[in-house]
Amino acid sequence: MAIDDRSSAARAARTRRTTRPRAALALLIVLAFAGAAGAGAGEAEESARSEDDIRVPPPSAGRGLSLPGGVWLAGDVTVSAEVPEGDPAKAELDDLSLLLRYEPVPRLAFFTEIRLEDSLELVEGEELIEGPANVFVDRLYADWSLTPQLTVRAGKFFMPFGLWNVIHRAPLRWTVDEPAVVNEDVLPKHATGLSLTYQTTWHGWSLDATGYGPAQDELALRATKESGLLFGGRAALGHSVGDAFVAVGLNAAEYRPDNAKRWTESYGLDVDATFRSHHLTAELIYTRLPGRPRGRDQHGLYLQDVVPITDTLYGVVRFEYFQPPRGRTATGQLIGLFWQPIDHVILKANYQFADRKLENLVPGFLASVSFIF
Amino acid sequence: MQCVGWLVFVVATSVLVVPLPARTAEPDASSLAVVVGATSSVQRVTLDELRELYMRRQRLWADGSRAIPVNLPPGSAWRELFSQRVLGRSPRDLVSYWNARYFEGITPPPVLPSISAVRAYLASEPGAIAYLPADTVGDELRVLLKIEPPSR
Repeated sequence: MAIDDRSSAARAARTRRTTRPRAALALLIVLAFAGAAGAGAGEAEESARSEDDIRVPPPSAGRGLSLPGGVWLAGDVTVSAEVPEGDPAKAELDDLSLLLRYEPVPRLAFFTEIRLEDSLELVEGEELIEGPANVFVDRLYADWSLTPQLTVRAGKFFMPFGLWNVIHRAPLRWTVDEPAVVNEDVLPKHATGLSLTYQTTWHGWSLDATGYGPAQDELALRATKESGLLFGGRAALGHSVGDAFVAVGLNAAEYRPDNAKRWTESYGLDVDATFRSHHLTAELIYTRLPGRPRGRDQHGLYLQDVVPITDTLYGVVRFEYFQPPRGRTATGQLIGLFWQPIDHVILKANYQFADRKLENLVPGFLASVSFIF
Repeated sequence: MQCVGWLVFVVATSVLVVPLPARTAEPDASSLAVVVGATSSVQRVTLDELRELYMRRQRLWADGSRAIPVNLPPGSAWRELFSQRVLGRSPRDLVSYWNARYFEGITPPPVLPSISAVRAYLASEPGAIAYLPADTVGDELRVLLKIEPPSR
C-alpha cells in the first residue's frame, strides 16, 4: 500500500550502470522457463505415492518445504515487465522473498519474510541498472494462541486493513499490480507492536475480529515514511448464500507519521465472495487527510472478478476508481490472465486502461513471471 | 484509448462473468463420517469447529494439542461433498484463500492418497481428524459426526 522512500532512495543510490543488451531480459525469461521445466519433476513424484502410504506428505509442490522440528521454508522470485502507454518499456527483477515459519510448540509460531528488492532494472533505450539490492525484513512476528480461537501477535506484520494489504506483492495474487486505492502513499503498509485476533465460526457464520497497534513500520531498520503511531481494527463476517460464500469486512485505522502533528483516519469496506468458481473481490477505502478541506479527501474502490478458464488458467477483469488528494478522479479497467502451468510457476499478463496516468495507475501492458518454491 | 478500454473491458467482463455451472459432487448415497482414532482424546466436534479446523483458522484442540485435519485427494467426490457441506465452498473456490494463507506459512490440510491410508493414519495419530464414507469406518476409529449427502 504505502510507498516508502525505498524506490526513490534506491534510484538515487544506483551507481553502477553497465551496457545492457536487451537480450538480458530475454535471458532472464529463458532461465525462468528453464527453471519451471525442471520444477515439474516433484509433481510426478507426488502422484506416484502408494495408496497405502500413511506418511503425512509435505506441503504439495509450490507450497514450501517442511523441515524436521516444525520449520517451514518457502520463497519466491518475480521478474516483471511493463510497457506503459507513451513511456519506455522496462523490465525488472521485482523482488526475491524468503519466508520462514517455525512452530516449536503447538501454541507458538514464529514467522519472518525477508526480501531483496531493487536489484536489476532494464529500461528501453537505457543501460542495465544494477540497484543497491536492499535486503530488508518485511515481516517478523510471533503468534501465541491463547485459546484455539484467540491469537496474540507481536512484532512487525502487514497491517490487516482490507483484503489486499495482507497479500500485497505476492506472486499468488491475481494481477501484476495492485489497484490504485490500495497502492497509494498515505495508508501504512505495516504495523509494529501487538495484534489480537479472534476467529470463530458460529452457526455457520465465520467471524474474524482484529485489533492492532501502536506503531507503524518501526522495525524497518532504517527510516521510512511509515514510521509513526498507528491504531486500527478489522471485523469480517462470512456466510453461505445459496451456492455462494460471501464475507464482508469493515476496517478502521488512525495513524500519525513521526513528522506530522495531526492524525489521519482511514475507513474501509471489503467484500470477498466465491460463486461457482468465480472469485469476486471489492474494496472501498476512504481516507480523511488532516488539514485538507472537506471533499478533498482521498478515496477509491475496485471491483475484481476472477474466473477459471481451464484448470490452470484464470481470466481477470477489474474496474477501479480513485480520487487522489490532488487533481481529478481516475478510473481504470484491467483485463488479464493468470496462468499456473505447474505449481512452481506463475505467469501473469495484464492490460491496464486508465483515463488518467497516476503514479499508482499506469495505463499499458504488464507481465510477470514468478517462481515459488 | 479510454473508449477502447471500456469496450475491451465490457466484452471481457461479459465473457468471464457468466456464472459457471454448479459442480455437484456425486458420491454414493451413503453419508460421510467425521472420525478420529479410537485413542484420540477428542470426543465431539461441531460443523462450525470442523470448518475452522479445515480452513486452518483453528490449529489446536481445546487441550492445546495440535489438530491435524486430513483431506482425501483433490478430485475425490467425498472431498467435494465435505468441502461443500462443511466449508460452504468447493475446493476450487478455496484457491485464493490458500494462496493468501501461503504467505503466512499456513498450508492446506495434508492429503492422504486413499481411504485405507486415512484409516491407518488416524489409528496412529491421536491429533488427526478426517472424513470417510460412513460404511468404511472400522473399530479403530471413533465417529464424531455424520454428514448426510444432499437429498436428490
